[in-house]
Amino acid sequence: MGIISLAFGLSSMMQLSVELTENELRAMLSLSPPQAPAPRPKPTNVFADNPDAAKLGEKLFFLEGLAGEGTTQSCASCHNPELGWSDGLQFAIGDGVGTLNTPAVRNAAFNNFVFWDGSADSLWAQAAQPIESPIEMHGSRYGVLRTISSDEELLSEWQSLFGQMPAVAQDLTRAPHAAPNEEFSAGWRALTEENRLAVNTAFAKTLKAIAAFERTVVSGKSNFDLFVEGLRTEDEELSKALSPQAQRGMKLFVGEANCISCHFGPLLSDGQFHNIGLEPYKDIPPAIGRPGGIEKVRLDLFNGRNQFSDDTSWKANGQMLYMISNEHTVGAMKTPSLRDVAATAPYMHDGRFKTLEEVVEFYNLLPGFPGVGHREETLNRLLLSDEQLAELVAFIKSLSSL
Amino acid sequence: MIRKLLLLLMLGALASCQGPLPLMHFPDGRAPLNEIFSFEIELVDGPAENVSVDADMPSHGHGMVTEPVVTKIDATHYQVDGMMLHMPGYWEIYVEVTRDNESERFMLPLTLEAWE
Ligand code: HEC
Ligand code: HEC
Repeated sequence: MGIISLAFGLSSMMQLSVELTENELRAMLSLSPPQAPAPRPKPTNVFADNPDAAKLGEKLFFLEGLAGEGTTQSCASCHNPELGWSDGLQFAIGDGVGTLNTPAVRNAAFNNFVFWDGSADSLWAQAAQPIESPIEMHGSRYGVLRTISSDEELLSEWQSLFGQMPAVAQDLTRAPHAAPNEEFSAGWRALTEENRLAVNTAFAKTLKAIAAFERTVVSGKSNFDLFVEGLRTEDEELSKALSPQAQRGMKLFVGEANCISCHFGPLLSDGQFHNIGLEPYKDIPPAIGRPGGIEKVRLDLFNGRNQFSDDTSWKANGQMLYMISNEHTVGAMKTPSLRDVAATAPYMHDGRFKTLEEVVEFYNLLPGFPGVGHREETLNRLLLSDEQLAELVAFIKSLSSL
Repeated sequence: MIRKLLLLLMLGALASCQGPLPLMHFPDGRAPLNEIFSFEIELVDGPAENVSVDADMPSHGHGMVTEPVVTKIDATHYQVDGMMLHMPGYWEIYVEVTRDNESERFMLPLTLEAWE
């Protein structure tokens, strides 16, 4: 009932630039709770909230050549803190170029599933992919262990957390790369069954350290949060943090424009998958989205149900248990968080929109039809004025960390 | 475990059948938004051969993104796991009860708000 009395308190005490219905007010408050949220515990990674693991993970995240001999990139090459933990590019550039836009690592820890199609069920499982992707870091799991082993300081930190590094990782007579894929299969076949297990186990621990670091990369307070705090505490000064234009945009966001039906909660994301009906883009084959992600995550060696997980129970992996693919999820992509989104242009899974203005214009008119599946019926043309679209953009920009 | 709270009694008018609506005992008395949850069904009309559960957002033309699993606890109680109502808005939860090879479908309407 606190909220209701707050609602009455607000209308009399504070100077809002917009009139909010009680529901709009509740919706607004839900986007900025008094306590900033923390990523949920991750029982599949016992190092998830271990500060030493996070420290090691940070070094690994920024380490160029992490993926082994002949590789040059770091995670930060594409997830650059100066560029909103993304890369500012339409398509990521690694050892090749793909057809996907690089999402921010910031706030990724809040997701039950990561990647645009949710094809990984944890940050640690996710981190395995770029390391071995031929168009990204283009190295190998064995290569990573060799990199760590060749640096005394890293190795000692690694070993004090995880125990003895497998001897095979220090065996310089071996090929520098080994992985169960086509390219590095020679090195992989040269390993005994026992060594393969040791490599996978040590690799999984390394990924868990990277994940521990990523869990610390979250948004800070924004002008919008200060504004809401001002309303909660009846602090006139703080409540000026949101311009009248952004206040009107906020009202549209939670009300008429109904963005909140997918971009809800303190992250302004439901962490779910939706087909918003983007038209086919150039000659790129439209992505299948969520059904493909479900298939991949089930087969992933590093998913929470497999042997390298620290808790393989269904209780710790409930999200994996009841997933279904159906015609409604074809072409569906993960709803991105809108916190700090102003820093991560261009937008959408294929980076087709250069600005937030282009994004809201899309939602306003919903042009065309998607290449696969169908646009979710939640979405209707908004037919807002240019002034209102600018208000929406002003609100989204107010979600940037200060 | 699930705190048993009587949520809704008779919605005979809304249910597409004659019998009384099965009772649904939600955790903390209500269905949460965008979280996997379990609940219990109580067949006030006596035992049945089969019970299945589904949910839809009719105005959005889609259902759930999870597939719930129903297990029998005893003759008149069933446990439903893996429910998830992932979006705010109007939902309909359907419980299909089969007795003597005849199915009856009950519907529980409910609205979830983004701020819940
Ligand atoms: C060549 C550029 C590139 C490099 C290097 C790279 N990434 Fe990414 N990252 C991407 C792209 C592109 C995606 C989206 C791919 C997809 O969804 O299938 C992505 C997705 C992610 C995501 C998922 C975010 C979300 O919210 O879904 C995380 C987390 C991430 N990367 C972390 C890492 C880590 C850790 C490393 C280093 C081990 C790394 N990335 C290296 C380009 C890169
Ligand atoms: C039906 C759910 C849904 C609704 C409603 C919705 N969005 Fe989105 N939004 C998404 C999804 C899913 C994506 C990613 C789509 C893709 O890349 O294919 C997205 C992407 C975005 C992005 C780009 C983020 C990035 O990092 O690339 C912005 C900005 C955005 N939405 C703002 C809005 C605004 C403003 C509204 C209201 C006018 C809105 N959304 C309504 C689901 C939704």
